[in-house]
Amino acid sequence: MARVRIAIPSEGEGGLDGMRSGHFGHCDVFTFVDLEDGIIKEVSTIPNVDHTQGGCMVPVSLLARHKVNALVVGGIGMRPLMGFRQVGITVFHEDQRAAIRPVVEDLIAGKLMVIEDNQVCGGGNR
Amino acid sequence: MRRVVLASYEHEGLARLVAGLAQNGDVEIIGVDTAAAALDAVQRKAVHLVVVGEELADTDPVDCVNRLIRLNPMINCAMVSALAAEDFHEATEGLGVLMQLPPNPSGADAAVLMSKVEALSALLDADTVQGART
Repeated sequence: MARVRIAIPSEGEGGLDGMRSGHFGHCDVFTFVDLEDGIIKEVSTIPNVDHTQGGCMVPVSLLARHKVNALVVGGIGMRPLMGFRQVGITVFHEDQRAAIRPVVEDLIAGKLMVIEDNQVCGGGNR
Repeated sequence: MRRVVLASYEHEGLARLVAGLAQNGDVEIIGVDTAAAALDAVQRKAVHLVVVGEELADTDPVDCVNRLIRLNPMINCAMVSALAAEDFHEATEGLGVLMQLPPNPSGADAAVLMSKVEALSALLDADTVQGART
């Protein structure tokens, strides 16, 4: 049985019918969608951890500790992207839709692309 | 013990920072003048912080940080820069720079910097992320 945990940076209370956060590191909560053989089995949320400038590895550690396999972001910096790669979390890119559910459905359907180095925010893209 | 790499072509301007770091407990300081040497240093030993000066002998400071975090994203970097805060943010966005230091940083800057390093170390879980903790 293939089990996968997807994390979605979310606004407010999150949840499958919630809205995504545009800034993954400063989202209110992470929505977790647990899949078994591609079927949604459970949805849960955890609060993000407060961190200051330069603390972008804190959410990396948080999601690794919660055994996340895949993350969907609208944007991300090079340092946290490298961090997610280091801990084995695959980062997917989707910057068009704010609603969580259709993005999760597209990820399950294999329609989202893994983020490339040239899609990161700011100075790491060089 | 904390290990700090100072990467700068001009170390005189970092003298007060070095003195301040030395006052913050057990700190080993490794001085280098190129990005290549900084990359080499962080591969040889566990390093908790890299301070990148305004000039390096082989590349620019932002490129140095970019290469460091690609090698090991757990490495905390601080940069000496005279840029306005907004311009600095623009130049380093996404690189997760811990702190912008002013030119000729002081001992007080060193204390603030090390407090940030300690605060982040406390937040991160060494069991799940392979970091530079001893």
